[in-house]
Amino acid sequence: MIILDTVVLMFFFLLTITGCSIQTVQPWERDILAQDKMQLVPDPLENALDEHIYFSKEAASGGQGVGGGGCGCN
Amino acid sequence: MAATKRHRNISGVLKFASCTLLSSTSVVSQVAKSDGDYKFDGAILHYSEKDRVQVLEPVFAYRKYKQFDEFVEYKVTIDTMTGSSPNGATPSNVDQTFTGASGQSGYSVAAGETPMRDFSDTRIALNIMTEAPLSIETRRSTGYAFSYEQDYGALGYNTTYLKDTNDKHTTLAAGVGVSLDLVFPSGGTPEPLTNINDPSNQNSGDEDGEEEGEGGEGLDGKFKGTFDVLFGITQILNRYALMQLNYSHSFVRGYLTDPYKVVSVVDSITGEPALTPTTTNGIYLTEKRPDSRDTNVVYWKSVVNIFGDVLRLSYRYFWDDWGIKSNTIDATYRFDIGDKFYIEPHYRYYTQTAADFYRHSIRNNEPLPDYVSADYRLAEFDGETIGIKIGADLDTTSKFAVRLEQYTQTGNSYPADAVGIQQNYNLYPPLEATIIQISYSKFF
Repeated sequence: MIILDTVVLMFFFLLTITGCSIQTVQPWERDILAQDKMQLVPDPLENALDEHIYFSKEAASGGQGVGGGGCGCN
Repeated sequence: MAATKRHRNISGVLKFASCTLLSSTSVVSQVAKSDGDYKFDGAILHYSEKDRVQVLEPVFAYRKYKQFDEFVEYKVTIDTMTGSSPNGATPSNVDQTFTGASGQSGYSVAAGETPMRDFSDTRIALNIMTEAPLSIETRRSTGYAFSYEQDYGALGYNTTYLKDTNDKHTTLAAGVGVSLDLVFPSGGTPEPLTNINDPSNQNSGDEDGEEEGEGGEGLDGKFKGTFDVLFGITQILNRYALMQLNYSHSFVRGYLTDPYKVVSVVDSITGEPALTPTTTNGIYLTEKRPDSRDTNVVYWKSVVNIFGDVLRLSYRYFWDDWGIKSNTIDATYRFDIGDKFYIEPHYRYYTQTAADFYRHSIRNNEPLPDYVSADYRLAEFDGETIGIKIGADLDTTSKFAVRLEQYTQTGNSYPADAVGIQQNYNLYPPLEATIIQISYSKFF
């Protein structure tokens, strides 16, 4: 299990640092990246509601930012 | 007037396109944001578990822009919860009575049923978030959080610094967060690892033995503190894709026990409830968890534009010093239909191992463990979410969406260490929940 986890982590780490061939994107070429639907969190309210649901139903939480939680969830 | 607004929007888009700032925490919009603009977000969530918890949760957020990358946001959340949740005891072949430690009102559960505890509460939360540039390449977001419910209160603060580098292809993030929570258990804080059916434990919650009223009374709340740190990197890969990698660590200290959960003590051979001396009621111990927990998360996310559609894929690996390890994969794919509408299927898979001290029950011939909990959330289980969202970008400034999702949890229903009659019962009854959300957003 630990070996599998390590492999998975290494995979994502390598994928990140190699960046699937990172290309220069000039400011005037960022029209697509600037679209709402391309944001990391396109709907913050929905994201917060989901985080709250899973925080109250699962042992693992977090990862996207700092803060959060704050409930005596049943 | 409309032309003026449109002109302002277009100029803002151009300005934005030349100044795109990637953020790990903030959301940038294709709609212009300029001095005096503001945005309203509203959503209503209905979360419904089959035969268990019902939650209705409206959320309203108001964001005021000082300029396109500087704003303050106020968010109010009201969380109305009713229903019942498993109290930790295992089903049995006899009726089970829980008289309740420290003055809690008792309740009974019929033979064969999963013991549940009824509850009802309303949580009100207020969040204030600001984001402002510090220089051309750096900015800071800050959040303040307050939440209160009948038996729980929390105050939180967090701040994150963001720095753009590499011609704004890369954004580095570093953040800290603090949360100070107080727990006021309904009926008082129970002494851990004591039998709630033992007459000598009645009305003797907390160390000093004073009587407690309903949650929130008195000043004997239990403290819980959380300190979070986060480091992240966001990278533009090309014109169509970006990627994020975060590492976060949480130090949690204080009262981490669930005051409402119990653990069944069963006969080591028959599996029936061991009886409280001089009574016909079973023995149910209040649970006890360590007073510290350190958690780690590695979180990876990628957003890719595929011929106008958007694939959003994330993976999270979580581990802590309670022995819990968890993997989460989350994927959405947004299909655009024409200029205004879209359909977005969602799939999430979650799996976790059990906490070291998780036990579905303990036997009457074993020594009392240092820590024990039968909370199903600390058990080994898998969770699966399947959903779909239908949305409409009504015009350049307003959006509407509806989503419907199904969340299920499945665990080890018939564990190998079940004894006697326990083997006849599902010790991890599956959880099935339906999530419906309606949301609306308007930019003014």
